[in-house]
Amino acid sequence: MTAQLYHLLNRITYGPRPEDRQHLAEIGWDNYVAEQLNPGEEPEALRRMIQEDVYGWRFDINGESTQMEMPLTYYDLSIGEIFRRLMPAPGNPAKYDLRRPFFETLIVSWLKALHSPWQLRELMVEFWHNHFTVSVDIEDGIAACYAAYDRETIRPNVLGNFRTLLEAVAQAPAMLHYLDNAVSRASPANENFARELFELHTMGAGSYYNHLYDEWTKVPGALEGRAEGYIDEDVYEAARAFTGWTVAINQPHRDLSVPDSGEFYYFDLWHDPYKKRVLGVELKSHQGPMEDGRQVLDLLAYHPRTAHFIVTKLCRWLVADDPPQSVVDQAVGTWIAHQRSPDQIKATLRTILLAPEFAVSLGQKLKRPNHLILAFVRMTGAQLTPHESVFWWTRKMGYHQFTCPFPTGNPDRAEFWINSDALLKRWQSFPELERIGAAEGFFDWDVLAETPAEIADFASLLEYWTARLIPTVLPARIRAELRKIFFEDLATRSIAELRRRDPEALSRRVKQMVRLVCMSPDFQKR
Amino acid sequence: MKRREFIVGCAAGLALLTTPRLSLFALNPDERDEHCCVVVFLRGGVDGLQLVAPSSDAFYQDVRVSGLKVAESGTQAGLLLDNSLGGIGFRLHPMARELHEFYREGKLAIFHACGLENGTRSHFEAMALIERGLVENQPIQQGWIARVLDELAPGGSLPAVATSGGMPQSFSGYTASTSVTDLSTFSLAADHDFPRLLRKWYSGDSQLDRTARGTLDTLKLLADSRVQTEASANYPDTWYTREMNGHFQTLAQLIREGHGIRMAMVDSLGWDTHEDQIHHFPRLVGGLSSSLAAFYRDLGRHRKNVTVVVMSEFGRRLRCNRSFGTDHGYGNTMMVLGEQVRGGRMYGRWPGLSQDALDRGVDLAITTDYRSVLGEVLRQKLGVQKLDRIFPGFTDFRPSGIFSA
Repeated sequence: MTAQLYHLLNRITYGPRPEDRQHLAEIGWDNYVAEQLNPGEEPEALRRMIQEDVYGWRFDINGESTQMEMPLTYYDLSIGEIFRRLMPAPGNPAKYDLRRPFFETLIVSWLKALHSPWQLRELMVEFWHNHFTVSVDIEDGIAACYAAYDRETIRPNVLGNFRTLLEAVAQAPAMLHYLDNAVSRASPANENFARELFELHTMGAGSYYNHLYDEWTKVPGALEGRAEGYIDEDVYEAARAFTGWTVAINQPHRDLSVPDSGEFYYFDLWHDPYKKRVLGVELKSHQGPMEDGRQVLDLLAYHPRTAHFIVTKLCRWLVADDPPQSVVDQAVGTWIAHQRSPDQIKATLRTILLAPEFAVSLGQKLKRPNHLILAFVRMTGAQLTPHESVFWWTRKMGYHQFTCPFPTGNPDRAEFWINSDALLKRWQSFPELERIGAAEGFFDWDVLAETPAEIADFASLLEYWTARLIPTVLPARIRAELRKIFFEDLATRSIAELRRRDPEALSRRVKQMVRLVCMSPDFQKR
Repeated sequence: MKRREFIVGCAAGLALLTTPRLSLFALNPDERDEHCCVVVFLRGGVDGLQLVAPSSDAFYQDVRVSGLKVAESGTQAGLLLDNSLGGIGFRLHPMARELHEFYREGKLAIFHACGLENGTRSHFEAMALIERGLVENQPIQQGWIARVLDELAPGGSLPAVATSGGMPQSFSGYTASTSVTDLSTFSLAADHDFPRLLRKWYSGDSQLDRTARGTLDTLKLLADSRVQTEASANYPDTWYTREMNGHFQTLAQLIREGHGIRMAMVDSLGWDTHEDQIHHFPRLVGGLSSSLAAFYRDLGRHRKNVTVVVMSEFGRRLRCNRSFGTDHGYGNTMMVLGEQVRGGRMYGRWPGLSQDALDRGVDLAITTDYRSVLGEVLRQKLGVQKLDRIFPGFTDFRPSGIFSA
């Protein structure tokens, strides 16, 4: 495979497998992108893994660790149903089970990243989950909402329309709990959601005109109802606009019975109905239910600063940590032109992926820890059953999947992931997978089956595996070194003979060699 | 082989590869060349008005609901601070017992109304500014701790250490910074030829290459290191302190081993209490206070060479919101702990809580620039002379006299 083909695939998959390259070589990049942007059904094998297979689940009861195997039972349920089954109550399981929907979401996300042919979609699921970060570590109730957050809020919209996605997120119980809008009521409202809505979800911190604090008339464009940046007063007013956007948990109130479903609920009695002004636009007093909030979402979703902020993040995700301005500008054009189309995000991704700037961005992105493990598994042909130990290890490497301690999500710049602790754990992760995975039965790797039988000598063996794993040709001194370390003492024997007589020794050596190639600088990149 | 011999042996090995740094360090008699500044960063914006509370202030008692303020009397009364500011009776949160003890022993200095005089209420922005040592945004990526180290040109083998995972932006641009969380797993166990080959592979000049080579050096240096906490350090055994204990234990071990650490950072998470602060805050404060105290004991005789600064990105709103939490505010407390600190008194200037004294009419104002507090530690304990090199554009350094001569 040429370095270029490798690069293209590497950037829009969690590690290209041999069959992916072949497919790309057959149909060409434009068609490949078109296919990925119009994903079809998941393969039967993956559906079975999600619907039928059982997964280990470990939890503590009174300090004692208990392990059980179970199928994914909560992932497909509505929040109402999940709460009905899981809320601590006589006859119901204990509190720890509230985390099961989160745990099942993690498993599904790893299964899809490993096995779905629609890899670009999975990368976008990761992108939006980080953009609209919700951490289950805040409280177990959020963990209970997580399957619905993934399945109903994020996934249906990852290639769709941003305005739709934004409202889905603003009404998602997981987000309502996480950024406290569920408990925000007049007055004073809780500002947590409103602030992150401006700063993280839409316009970005670069549009925070804090030096103008309360002088809204001085914000350029504000007097024409098109404020180009936001100030604290916009945050305060938006917080008021979203009062009443909550979760139905049987809020006590005279003469009114709020259901106890755990679903999104608009509670008018908590809403602050009076006039507000956001970004220079007046929201009238006593508008209809949810009108204030929806108007704020409109203002933000269609704001040019939002287009710029989100598209820059998309380009950072797909092109480079500091993407060329030319590709950002072009994609912003697409984003705005399609802002009311159901295919807005898809159209924008097409612009980015077909841009010349994308084609020449080889080696510009670093794999995040989860990506490193996934790529190792996919590219070596190993088998990984998603398992708590892998999630834990990934977290120790610094990647917080659904548990990010900050609402900014996992960073997408290389420097964050490059430090001695993180780098060492990246190197350690491949032998660790084998060691812990073999012991706990979630990892299996028949490296000889993955090595073509026609490879007869060690030089070809080395060449085959490095070409499969990294895009560059190894410097001669490294190649010589690798051969010396791994195969010098075997050099008098043929591979065919070793396969017959001593497959375990051969397999051990090849695995060590592959792991070392995966520790190389090239494999750290995506 | 004894621990000390091993380190020296290791350093000698390293010296061949890099520069003979440790020997220079060992020869220098000036104690400031060994002093280490540990920054404990409370991420999320600690509510300084409930940690160090102006509890005798009638307005404070009026606007804050019970549970979001520190009481003057009763079983939940705060811990009274002598030598307080502005004639106000300040009290530490009742769960901050160990901090109060330090204060009474004269080791802890407490500032109030400190912070970043920028006005931002964004975590992201405030942290990015503070970690780069700025007040207004400037095109500077380098962190302030990185500049301290450039200025000191330290000789030790591990001059800059972060132990909470990752590398805070404060260290950005100083390539000899080391991130170590858990010494027991800081090794590359299998396949011992790997490091040699990796060093060749990572031979370039990128950040990735340089960090990789530094990591291989550190691996060699710490091959034998294990946390050996004295039982008497008495780290609190609670689920919510376990992680922070680990970060402190690693740091204490590295300081005891004498690697020449000059700057270190430990993160404490969870202070963004928009909701149900009543429930979360006592646990957070109790955890911080007891875990930090254990770290201090854990340092043993080395504590004379350590100054700890506790800080956060901003304070929280004076008035609470309707979900029993507080939103992002402004002025805040900072604390400095150390054997040479003239503690047992509060520092700074209390601006008061009347409407016209509040920043924007809602938040505690700032009367002490965070850089003055850090600057005083840097100048007095680390010997940094040119503070404007650490904090670009900082000319208004106002020391408070927190160290005895």
